[in-house]
Amino acid sequence: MTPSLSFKKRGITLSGLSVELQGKRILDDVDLEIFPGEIIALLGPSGCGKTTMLRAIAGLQRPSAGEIVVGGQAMTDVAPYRRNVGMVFQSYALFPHMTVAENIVFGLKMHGVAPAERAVVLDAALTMLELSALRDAYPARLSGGQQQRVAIARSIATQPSVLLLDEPLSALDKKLKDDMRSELRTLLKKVGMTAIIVTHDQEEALAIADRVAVMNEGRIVQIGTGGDLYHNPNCRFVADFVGYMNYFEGSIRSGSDQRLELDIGDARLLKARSSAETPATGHVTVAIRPEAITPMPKSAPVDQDEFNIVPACLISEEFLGIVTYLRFQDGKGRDLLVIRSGQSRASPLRVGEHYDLAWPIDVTTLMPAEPQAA
Amino acid sequence: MIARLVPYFLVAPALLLIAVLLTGLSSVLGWSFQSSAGDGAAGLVQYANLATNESYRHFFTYSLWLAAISTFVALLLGFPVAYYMEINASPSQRKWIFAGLLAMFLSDYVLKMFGLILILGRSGLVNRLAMWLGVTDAPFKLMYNEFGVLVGLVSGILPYMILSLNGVIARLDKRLHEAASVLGAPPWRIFLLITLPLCVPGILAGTMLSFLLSLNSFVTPMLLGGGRVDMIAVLIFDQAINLANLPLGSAAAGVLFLISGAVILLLNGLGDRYQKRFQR
Ligand SMILES: Nc1ncnc2c1ncn2[C@@H]1O[C@H](COP(=O)(O)OP(=O)(O)OP(=O)(O)O)[C@@H](O)[C@H]1O
Ligand SMILES: [Mg+2]
Repeated sequence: MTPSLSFKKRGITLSGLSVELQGKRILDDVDLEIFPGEIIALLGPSGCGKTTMLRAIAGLQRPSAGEIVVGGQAMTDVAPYRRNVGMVFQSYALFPHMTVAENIVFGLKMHGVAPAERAVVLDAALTMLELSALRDAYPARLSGGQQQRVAIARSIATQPSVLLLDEPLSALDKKLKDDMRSELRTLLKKVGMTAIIVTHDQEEALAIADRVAVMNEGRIVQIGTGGDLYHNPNCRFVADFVGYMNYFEGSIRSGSDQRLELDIGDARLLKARSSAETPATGHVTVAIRPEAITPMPKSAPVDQDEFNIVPACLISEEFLGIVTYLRFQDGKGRDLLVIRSGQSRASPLRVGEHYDLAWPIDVTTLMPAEPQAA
Repeated sequence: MIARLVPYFLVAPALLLIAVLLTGLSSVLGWSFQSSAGDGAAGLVQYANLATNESYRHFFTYSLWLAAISTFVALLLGFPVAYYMEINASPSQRKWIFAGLLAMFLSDYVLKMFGLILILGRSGLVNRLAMWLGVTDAPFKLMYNEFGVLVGLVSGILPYMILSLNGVIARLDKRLHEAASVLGAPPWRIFLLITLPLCVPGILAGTMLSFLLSLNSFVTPMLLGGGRVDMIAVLIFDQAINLANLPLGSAAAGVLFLISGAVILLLNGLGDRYQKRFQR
């Protein structure tokens, strides 16, 4: 699409942003710095305040406290129609009395773009979102996925420097979703739009965004690249939200500057690397990703300095094609999931047999123990 | 067997009523083809009479004019009320507005008009206030003229207009306004491009109801117009009852019936065509 409006990359800064609705704190003191041209994914359970955050940035929801700065300009008191922020609504919010084409050019009309130029942008948007055949259809006649694509087309037509997308791909089928998310990313990057994309789908979040912010109960729990969140989650909530985790509850027995020894009960010690963030004493949660664990025959030699070992019994095996899920149970009745790639079926394991589960000390993650968090 | 007859029993009273009304109506139509002399000559004499006589014609054009003006004023006054009631009012405010509308609905038409007389009359509320404030020495003539009738018509149709608009306004999706706003539309453009077009079905329904009620109104021109304001129902009453010219009165009623039917067909057709475009 030809940039029709003056385009300037703009970053977003939220500081101390709070929103209260009917006496309930929906957003709780959120700080967030988004760089110009960056794509952020907001990931979090239903009702955690994702939509509310987008609405506050768009100016549709008045914050009860805090600041919203877009492109260096304080936005808190600016009316929505002057913010030049695009938004794809979770419910699409297409204008029912306008055709697909009329919906898409609505924003251009509002910005005073000349008809000839509108036609060019419209054609480009229709082509990109595969809507050309539907240009004169009314929204009520469209499927959910088609409506969603119209909503995306409408929001990007004006090429806003900030684009807010509230679950923009949720109604599309798998194939279209995969195509769309890479196309969307390419487009956002080409134009240089700063974008916040809300999603329930962690895979989508990792694929489309530069950084992912995990939200819970109105707060941002952790923000970082997919790798950061996956390998160094700062709490169980994040760890569970991004992939699957095995946990041991334990307490720190002894710690040197490099190594910690952890008592996980059952007269068993685990080792982990200490870092600046890990506490020196007290209760901790030990977390290991299922694909980091290798089941070894009982007799196999393992380097005890480099690996942690927990003996466990194989309970079940699920072959899922690319990967195989192996469910183990250790002596204390703790369930452990091991994921192996489908290839490694060379040495088959037998259900009911005991194995040594081994994983490198380096990938043993420590986090503060939580009072019975799910 | 009995069970199968139940529906017929249930609709029978209504059907009977409709039959009686239709009988009355058709006998009126029958009269309209008689000559005034009562000599049994049949034909379109009365209709020709209505069409050619300037002063009779005036009753029709003037009634249409008053109906149009009062409907338009009711729309202008009613829309903000309906909008406020559905969008901005707190639940308790809503309840009060609704109670007011209900009172306007339930009170008898004649009673309402007498209420207006107490307000608009020579020594009515408005005039007493104006004289007390020294705005005028002699009382304004607010009644027994066009103004009084218009006030009466508007206050008669306003609740119908408001309740017709309520439905569509309540169904407005607030997110459409938000979407338009984010796309750069200031409030006045949102109103013109989103709110108004989506309210068209309610506007047409309210317009139809109001226009027909005004056009057919009899009590208002009698009480607030003192019988001196030329509306069709007054003509019918004068001819059929006062002057005992039942054929001419019936023909006037026939024409009124035709005009009303045409208005219904026109506005319904417009509404259907408008909605079919974008609804499933
Ligand atoms: N107008 C409102 N009045 C009161 N509470 C509200 C209102 N709108 C939203 N909430 C509450 O605010 C919380 C956050 O809502 P929000 O829509 O931001 O969640 P979300 O993260 O977008 O969820 P989802 O993934 O289901 O869309 C919810 O608990 C919701 O019930
Ligand atoms: Mg939401």
